[in-house]
Amino acid sequence: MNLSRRDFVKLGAQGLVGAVLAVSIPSIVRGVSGPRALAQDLGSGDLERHYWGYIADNERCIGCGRCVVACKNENKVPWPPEYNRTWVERYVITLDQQVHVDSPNGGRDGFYQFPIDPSIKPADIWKSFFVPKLCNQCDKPPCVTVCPVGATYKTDDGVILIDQNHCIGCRYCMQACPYGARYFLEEKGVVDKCTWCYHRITKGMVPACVEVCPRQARVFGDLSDPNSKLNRLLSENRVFTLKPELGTEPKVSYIGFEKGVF
Amino acid sequence: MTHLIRAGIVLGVVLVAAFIVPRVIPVPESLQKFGFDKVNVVENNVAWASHPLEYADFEVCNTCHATEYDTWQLGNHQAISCETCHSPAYDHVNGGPAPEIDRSPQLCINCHGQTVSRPADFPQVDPDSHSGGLNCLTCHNPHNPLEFIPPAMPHPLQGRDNCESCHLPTEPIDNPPVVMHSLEGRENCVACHAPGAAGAAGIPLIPHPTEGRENCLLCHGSNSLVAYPADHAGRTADMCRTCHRTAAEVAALPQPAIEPTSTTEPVATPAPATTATAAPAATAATTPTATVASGPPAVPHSLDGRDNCLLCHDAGGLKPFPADHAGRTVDMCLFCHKTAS
Repeated sequence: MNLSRRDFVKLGAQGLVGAVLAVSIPSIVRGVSGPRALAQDLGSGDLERHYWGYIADNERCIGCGRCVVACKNENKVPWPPEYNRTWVERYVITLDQQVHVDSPNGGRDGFYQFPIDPSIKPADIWKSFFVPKLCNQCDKPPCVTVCPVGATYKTDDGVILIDQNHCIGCRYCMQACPYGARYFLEEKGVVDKCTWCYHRITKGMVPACVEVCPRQARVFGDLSDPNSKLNRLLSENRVFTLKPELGTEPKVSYIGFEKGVF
Repeated sequence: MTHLIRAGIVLGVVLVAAFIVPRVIPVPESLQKFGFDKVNVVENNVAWASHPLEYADFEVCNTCHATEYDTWQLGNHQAISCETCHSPAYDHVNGGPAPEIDRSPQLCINCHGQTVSRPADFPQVDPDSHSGGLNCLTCHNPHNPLEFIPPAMPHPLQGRDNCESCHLPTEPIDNPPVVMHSLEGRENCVACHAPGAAGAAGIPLIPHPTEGRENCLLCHGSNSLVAYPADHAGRTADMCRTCHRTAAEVAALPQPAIEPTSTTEPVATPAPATTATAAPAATAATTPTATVASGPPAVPHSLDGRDNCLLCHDAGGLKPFPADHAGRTVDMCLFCHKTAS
């Protein structure tokens, strides 16, 4: 075999390019079409048909704390009150428009045994109500933006999830969340947060907190379904979101007194 | 010149290949899975979606617990899911042991303890004064909390410290109401049947004036427009006003302090006869006149342990004597009114 120098270089270059392309094609194809193809594997297989939303009704909430207990049971959230995917806050607004907020044990044990701060005189109380809190599953989630390893993301049905195998536990997302909805799970060394009970809503059930709420103060539903109870309530009531000035576009809407609620 | 261009192209190809080839070929699969950039979204979605369930759905409870389910659907707790009070039951639905039930008053108080922060229209009680230390379940069926609720006393307690002199489990008449349950272990009637004004215990007030409407059954008979409840069948017109009063009459009733008593022996405390004359004629004036025609009515009940007629038949009492009886004392009653036997 007698190759000229030119032919050798030519052939070598062609072979190299060909080999690289041949090896890369499967991963390129997978990268383009992978998620869509694999989406069929997920139970209902209809991720794109839903866009979930949530309403918390401050006028109905009675502060019993069953939602907090249910969340801890359902999602194996540690029992101590520092760990909460959802919690309930008690607002007391006095006549001089001072807003007092407390949440003894996150509302886990109810509020009856934890009276209002005695420094607030009963006669001075202008308004008092309970506000259920949880992850707002923002449309523009700051926690997703800041994650240095991309471990948290928004699903096609609008829920913010964490890949806890990928999370490095830097807690930057906890700093970024304006609602304090994330907590650090020491036992795994990662951050944890409300998933709207992703395992329940993908099976056509409602989140555990909604299931147990005795007053229907928590409503879960599909924003993309014009006939859902959620959309009916949203159109019939004056609703507000928390900290709208931050532009996070929360998907949890609140019914009730707005001023001073944050 | 061309050989320089060619060498440049070759060099470029080699450099690009030097980056791409190690990236694609020798990098292990696991490193590709976690990647240098994003997580595998779908795989993680599936992982979250396959988290085990704890709470089932309340509809499934009906499959086996139909009796409780039916009771629950009729009551004021019908909007509350089973697992709100019973613990999570997904395991139980799939053959596991029954969930633990929290029967402590604390569970009830979590919702119904009185605090200013709850909505004003939500039923709230002060546990200490409401139950007198009894467990909530003594009186309330949690599946239907107002079912079989002990009726409050429709009359004041004043001087009536022996409930059984009128209310006996055995007496075959329904006015005064008979006791529907055994008295064993229930010496303290007042613990459950709180004395209060008529109407407070769910006995409806009369929403209209009563002048000229002596015969309630004209409008409230069994076939009438606003018929009385089915369980009132057989009651006559003269009984209605024993329990049902107008709002004005209720306001005029004396409101004694609650004095729980456990006295069981018959006690006859003669009420001072003078109180009868001082009583307002308002209630007495509306006394049914239907029975007057045939002389003094017989006493429709036995007299065992009922020495003091005025305890019940005082003006302003449960079943007041007619207005023209004012001033008669307790020792006179039996001169005219005889027992049936």
